[in-house]
Amino acid sequence: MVERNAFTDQQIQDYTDGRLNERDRGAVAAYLLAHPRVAADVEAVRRQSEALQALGHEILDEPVPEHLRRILREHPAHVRAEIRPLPPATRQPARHIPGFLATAAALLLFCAGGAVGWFAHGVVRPAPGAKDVVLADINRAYAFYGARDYPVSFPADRAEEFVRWIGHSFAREVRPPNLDQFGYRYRGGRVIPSAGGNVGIFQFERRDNAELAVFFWTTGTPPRLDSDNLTARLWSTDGISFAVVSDHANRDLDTAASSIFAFYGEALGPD
Amino acid sequence: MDDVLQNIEQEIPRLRRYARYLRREPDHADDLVQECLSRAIAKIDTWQPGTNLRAWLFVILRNCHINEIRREQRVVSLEDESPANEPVLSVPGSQETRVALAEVRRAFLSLSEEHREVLLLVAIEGLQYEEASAILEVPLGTVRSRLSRARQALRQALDAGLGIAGDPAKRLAEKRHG
Repeated sequence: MVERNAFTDQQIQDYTDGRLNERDRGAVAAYLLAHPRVAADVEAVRRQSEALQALGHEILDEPVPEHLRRILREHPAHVRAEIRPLPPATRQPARHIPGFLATAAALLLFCAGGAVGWFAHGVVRPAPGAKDVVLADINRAYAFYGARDYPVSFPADRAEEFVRWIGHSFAREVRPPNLDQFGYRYRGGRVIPSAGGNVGIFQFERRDNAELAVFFWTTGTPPRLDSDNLTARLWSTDGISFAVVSDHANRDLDTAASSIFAFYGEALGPD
Repeated sequence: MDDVLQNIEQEIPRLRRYARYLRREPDHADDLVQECLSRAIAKIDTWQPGTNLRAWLFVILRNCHINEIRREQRVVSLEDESPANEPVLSVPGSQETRVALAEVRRAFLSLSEEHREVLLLVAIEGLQYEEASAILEVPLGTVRSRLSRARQALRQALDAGLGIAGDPAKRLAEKRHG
């Protein structure tokens, strides 16, 4: 029995699981040679592991479902909205829209035909004729933004009220993400109409005047972005779509978008 | 980035097996994998090159699973042996192999959840103790002791179910190694 305890059970287990260095491994191996009953125990554990490894092994041989592969191919880092200028006839003078509102309105000029990938719950592609619909949205959006006292505008100190309002409008709770780590302060939010339904916006700003916005909507047709200097990261999950928008020069956009993506993954999750 | 994505793609079968163990229903399991992949992409910057990608993905997968359970406030009884709630770990192979594997499976399913999970991570997936410790969010020493107890319990379960054919793990080993 003394010799049986020459190595602890933990040491024997470490040996079984290949965790010992060469010298200790040799020592235990020699010990096992001299103690066939302990060696039989080790061998039994090895057989157990081998037998367990066969459980569910056929799952490893199954073809990977395409929708799982697609998630990797169409993730936010690959999803860059192709930005192109509006045709001159439809371009609105930016001076009609103060500050960030111009950015927000510009998002609605989303280029429907661009290489915009959507992942998670299916690929969404704009339907034929969507351009006309979106152009109509542009006009409506401009009209909303143009009205200075438009009531659907919630500053940061009314965030909770806005979240409740969103709950009514979108039938789910969508909260503004915390972007403190990137230096962005939540400035407020609003909801704007689009042909396919309402689009919610959380607006952020930083001390250096950088701006960033999170757009969300629940319909399958994305709003359109068409601007010389904006870029977006898009995704769709569990019936709600998101776009994180900022200008091209914003180096934080990818990391901020990843953080926001994770935030809503935790907050919303699958149905 | 693309290399990492390719490596993640190669791990999908392993994720599906782990998810099938956690969620049982294949469709739900794939939903869990989908959620895991989405989150993995979102936090890809947090993966340290040179570390075990599979273990990193397993942490995410398990967290997705736990969040899902919390969200639904659903209590899952892993001790429920009804077919609908059994982890889907089917047994392939020849008739003889299937019989032996079915015995192993039965013994495995008779273990407690924490014993099954530590065996799944270390014995089936071949993860290091440290990686299992991170996934299970328990100290390394707990992994060691839990693994030891799990193996002991499995052996007892196998012994308890022994038929005239003898130890199924031994029969499988003989079959495998001729």
